[in-house]
Amino acid sequence: MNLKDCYLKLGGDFDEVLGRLQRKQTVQKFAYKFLDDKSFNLFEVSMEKKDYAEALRAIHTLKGICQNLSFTKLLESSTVATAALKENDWNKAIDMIQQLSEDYYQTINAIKEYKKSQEE
Amino acid sequence: MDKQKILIVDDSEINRALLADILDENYNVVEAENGAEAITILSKQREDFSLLLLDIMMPEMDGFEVLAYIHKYRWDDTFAVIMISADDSPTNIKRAYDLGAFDYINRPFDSTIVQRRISNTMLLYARQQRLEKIIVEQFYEQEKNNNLMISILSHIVEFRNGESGLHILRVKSITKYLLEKLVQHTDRYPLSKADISLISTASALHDIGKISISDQVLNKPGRLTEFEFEIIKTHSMVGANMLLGLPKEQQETPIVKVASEICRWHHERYDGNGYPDGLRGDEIPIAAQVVALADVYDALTSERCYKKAYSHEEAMEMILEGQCGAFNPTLLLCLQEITEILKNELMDTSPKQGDKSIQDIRNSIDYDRLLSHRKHPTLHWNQHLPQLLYMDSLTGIYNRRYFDEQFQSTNDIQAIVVLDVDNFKHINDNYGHGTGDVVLQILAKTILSCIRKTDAVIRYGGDEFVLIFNDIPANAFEKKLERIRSFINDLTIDGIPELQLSVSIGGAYGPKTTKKLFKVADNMMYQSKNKKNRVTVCFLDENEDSIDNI
Repeated sequence: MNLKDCYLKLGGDFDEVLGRLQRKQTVQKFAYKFLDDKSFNLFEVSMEKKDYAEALRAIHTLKGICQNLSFTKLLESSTVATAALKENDWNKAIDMIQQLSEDYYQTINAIKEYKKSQEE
Repeated sequence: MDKQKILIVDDSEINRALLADILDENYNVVEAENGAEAITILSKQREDFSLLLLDIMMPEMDGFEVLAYIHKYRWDDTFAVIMISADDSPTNIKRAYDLGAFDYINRPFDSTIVQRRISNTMLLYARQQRLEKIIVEQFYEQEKNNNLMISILSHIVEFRNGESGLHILRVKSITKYLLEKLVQHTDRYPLSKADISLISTASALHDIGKISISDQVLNKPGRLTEFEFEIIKTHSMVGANMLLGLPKEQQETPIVKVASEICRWHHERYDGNGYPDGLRGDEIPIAAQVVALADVYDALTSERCYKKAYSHEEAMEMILEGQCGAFNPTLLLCLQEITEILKNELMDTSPKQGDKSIQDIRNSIDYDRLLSHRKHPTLHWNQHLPQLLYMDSLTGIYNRRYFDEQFQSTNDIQAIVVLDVDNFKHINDNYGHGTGDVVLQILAKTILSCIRKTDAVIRYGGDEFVLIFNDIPANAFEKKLERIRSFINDLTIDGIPELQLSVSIGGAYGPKTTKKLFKVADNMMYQSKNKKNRVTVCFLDENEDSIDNI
């Protein structure tokens, strides 16, 4: 599995990210770093606690990271959730959790799979 | 060359790392994870940074708050702020610009664009700062030259009538203070800061007409005859005519216009009883009214060939009673309100230029009063020369030459103090000579702040200072030395909190020659040195060598 396949699997745009960051190693380094990022987790916990301000900050951060790494699919759902929380539309934000979670794990799993293939 | 330093402020570790990755080849990158942390870093070492990359949405303190803080304290004078955010709504971008952001970079980051934007911003900022520095330098150079020309002029005009040369400089200062008060009181005379500066500069020319008056009349010690007084009175018109004789393009410059008014009408009085034209009230231009009052006040409080100096209080009484003619009532009010300045600050007329911190020290020394001790008190033409000759270039206080030439052979000093820094070699060896220099500068400043204007502090050599006192009661002398010791002992040096400063002080007090007092004070200092951080004083009287040691 190469990095481009990984991006295909997570619903991202590899050519776009490579165009901006220029080096495959950089893209890979930050994709790996994403595995340790706590933004999604913070979003979930904050939503559960109904701490919507914190949830907004977390999902906004996630959105920024997805933009930078061209994780298009996760970017789309995090953009919708960010907008919902900004407009104080809690219900819509709550409805988005499921979709976000699916997209997030799709992204994470694709990267993990790629990482594993590189280590073998 | 060291790499320029950039501070990245973003709550997302990945985003910071991504920017750092793009930038760390060319720059020295520092990271902060929220606004509060950024402010903490900047408050300690903001001058190290050339650029700030700032996210908007962050916990603790968001990007807008950071921007507002930076802008309020004008930190962005030395570095540029570029906003970085995923939220590119026009409202946010506009708000960031309004708060002083220099530029805005949208996510996602493109490494080439980020690098270019940042290097261009840095270049622009550096260029702007360089230009600002050049302008400031040119401005000060110009100011320096203007002030120099005015002091030369003062000396030329006043050299002839044997006055101090300071009259013109003092009239200039009083004029400025009066005008600043006047515009606070009334809007009848719409004067800008530039107008005030122009009038006070032009005031230096008020007496130029006096060069046409013969020495016999100008410097006559006794009372003038009516005829002689009439001759003196011509100086105002003569001065104005001299300026009228300038080429037309010079005549039309604001400074010459104002100077002509001042020359011609600075002896007019508010009730019409002045000369040469008998103008009254606001027929007299305000510039001339103000200079007239400043001139009268300074003439009264200075010694002249025909009179003694009056005290501030006596002079004020005479002016307010109308003994020197009538003045604009609002101006009289202004004169009363600047009493403190007149009494304190105006004694000092050293030129304002050069290094600010040293200048502060220089300004607090009243050279002219101290130099009245001089053996040759009539050297009007080089009055500023002693300032350079007798000044220690590191600390701005007097140097050893001053002591040797002005005091060594005199017998009228009441008390001498020798003060030596404890463990100065240790300071130089352990913290470097730069720190040693800073210590000496701080000590000089501290000692100056503890003594009166009539006392003198001299850097005698290395880390040794000499203090000279007159007209001081014995107990006050002792207390003062103890105060100096304790003040110095409480000092801390920036960045070296563990460095404890102390001095050993020896004092000699009594009716002995300077040489004797110095010798005794030096011995006392060595006694203090045994235990360090001590004051030892010896009181001497006519007959005995010493009556008391503490």
